[in-house]
Amino acid sequence: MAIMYALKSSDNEIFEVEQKVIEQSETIKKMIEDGAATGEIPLQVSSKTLAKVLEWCKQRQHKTVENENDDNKGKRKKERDEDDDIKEWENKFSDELKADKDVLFDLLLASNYLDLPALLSFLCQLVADMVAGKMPEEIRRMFNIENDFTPEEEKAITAEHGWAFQP
Amino acid sequence: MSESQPAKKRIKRQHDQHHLITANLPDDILEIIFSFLPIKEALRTGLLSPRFRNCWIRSRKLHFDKDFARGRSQENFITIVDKIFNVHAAPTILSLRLYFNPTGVVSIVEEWIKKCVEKGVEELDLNFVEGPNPFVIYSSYLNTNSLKILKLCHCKVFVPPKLCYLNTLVLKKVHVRPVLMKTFLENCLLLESLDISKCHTMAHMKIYAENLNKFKELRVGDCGPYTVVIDIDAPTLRLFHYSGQPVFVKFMHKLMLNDVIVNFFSFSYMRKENPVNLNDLSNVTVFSATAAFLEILVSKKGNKEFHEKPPGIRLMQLKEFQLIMEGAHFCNVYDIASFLKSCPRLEKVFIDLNEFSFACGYYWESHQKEILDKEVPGAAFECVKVVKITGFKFQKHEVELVKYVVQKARFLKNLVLVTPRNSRLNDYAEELQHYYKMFCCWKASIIGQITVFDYFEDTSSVHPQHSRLTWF
Repeated sequence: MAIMYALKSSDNEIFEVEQKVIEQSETIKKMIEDGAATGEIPLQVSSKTLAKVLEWCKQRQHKTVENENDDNKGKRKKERDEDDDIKEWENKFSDELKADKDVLFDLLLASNYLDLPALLSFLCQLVADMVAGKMPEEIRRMFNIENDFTPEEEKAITAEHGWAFQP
Repeated sequence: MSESQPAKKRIKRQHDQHHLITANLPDDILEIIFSFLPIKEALRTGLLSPRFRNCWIRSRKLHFDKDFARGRSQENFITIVDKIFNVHAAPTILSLRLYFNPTGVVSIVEEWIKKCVEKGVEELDLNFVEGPNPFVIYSSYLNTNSLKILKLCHCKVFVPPKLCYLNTLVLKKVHVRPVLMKTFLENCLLLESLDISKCHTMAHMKIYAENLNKFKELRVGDCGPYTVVIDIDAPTLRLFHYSGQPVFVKFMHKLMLNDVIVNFFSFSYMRKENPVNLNDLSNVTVFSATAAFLEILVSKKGNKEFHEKPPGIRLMQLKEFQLIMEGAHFCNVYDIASFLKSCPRLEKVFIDLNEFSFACGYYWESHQKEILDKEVPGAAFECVKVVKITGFKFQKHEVELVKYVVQKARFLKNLVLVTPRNSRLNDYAEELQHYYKMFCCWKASIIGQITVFDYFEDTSSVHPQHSRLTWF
């Protein structure tokens, strides 16, 4: 019988999750190890985002279990299909996030807060692809970055790495 | 054309601003995000604000590719790349791409590669085509478990490295000796894709990949005239693209192949057997070939026998077939019709007639045409929905091909004709009206639409999956 934990979202929704699934989060794993995880574990993550986090963790968990059980023979066809399934799942997952940017950025913050390195990398790459090819002014507006460079400083940076600023 | 492009770009940018995405993310997360940008883009983020001034030293993608190399001297290339390597501060490098002439600076390049390997590099794309001699790769510094993608161009690999986690291998202009191939296929058990192009290889290429459970894609492109036979033992293969001189391809396993290109550059008479055993293609759903492939098939059977017996080939699963006629010697409408008839589930047919004119001889006039005319209309092509013929010049035999197809395909939805690259639609203004009426009169399908496009204004949105038959 798998050990279950109850996670409470910031909007007070309860998610029952297997220990193996949620232990991928270093933050929660540490809480469990420290004995701090009794009863409901309150998290500063909205229920919508937490559902996405758990979707990711379950998929990952499934993947690692499959690999452990792999006896390498007579499974060729099945295994191939599973590879495709994972890729397909990841594509679908990222398409959904690209369509709903608010969830994407919330999930990014949650993956950082819960310390899920694989998810964090996955999402950072996704956002980096959105940033690529944009002008500095556009990126600043995108992330509310204030530009406090003087024109002279800007000129110095452009001069230092001239090649990167050529079109 | 050149004038209208900048205008388009401007419109696009305004559009982007309209749907501007904004987010309040902490600086340290932004820094991680920017580390996933290629180095050039990462350097540009230095302009955002003082906080991100030196963010680029954590870039995980050190891409110094063809774009970077354009118009740059070797000295300048090395100065910039070396500087970045010297200050690079991230614990990981995901990818390194190099495109330059390494003559005289081999040891510096080796240092760069070693640094990447130390930082767990996953992709190496090393293109030394600019150099006069191949760059020698030693396995001593390449034996890494992190590498997933390896692309080598104009390199010499003495002892192949044991790359246990490699999933993509691309070799271009690399002398592929049997031992090299063998070692790669024995060690890289997770290999998914192998691409060999413009390589000097052996006369008998052996792809023995029976132990590779994930091997799905094999591409062999323009590997010189020396390769005669390719033996493929790869039970999991799904995609096989071949481009080059005619060869015998022998598959040793019952295959799941579903995506195939056979791009034979020229016809050559093959005495013994078919270049590809068509039974091996029984699962293929998407198939592109040049006329040379069809001609070898036809020539095997001997013309007389070929038309008297119904074609034996049955590509039961084929849904999309593309035929490139350029370079054909004797392939005619009858040969094409015979092939199409042997694919009962065909849905889409693409025939490219650019740089080609049918030369149908006496045999066609006296015999084959009559056979086609006698066939019951609508008796085959039950699944054909789309037919596209490009390079269409309204020549006699081209019209006969259209006639044959539209008479047969009862459920045709779209017939698309596109003019050749070197002529305009206006050139055919007279024929157009005349033939349009004829096509409409011939067609067996009630709902079928016929559209004719100028080569440069083809907005049909009907395109083959294999947009090009050469990829290297």
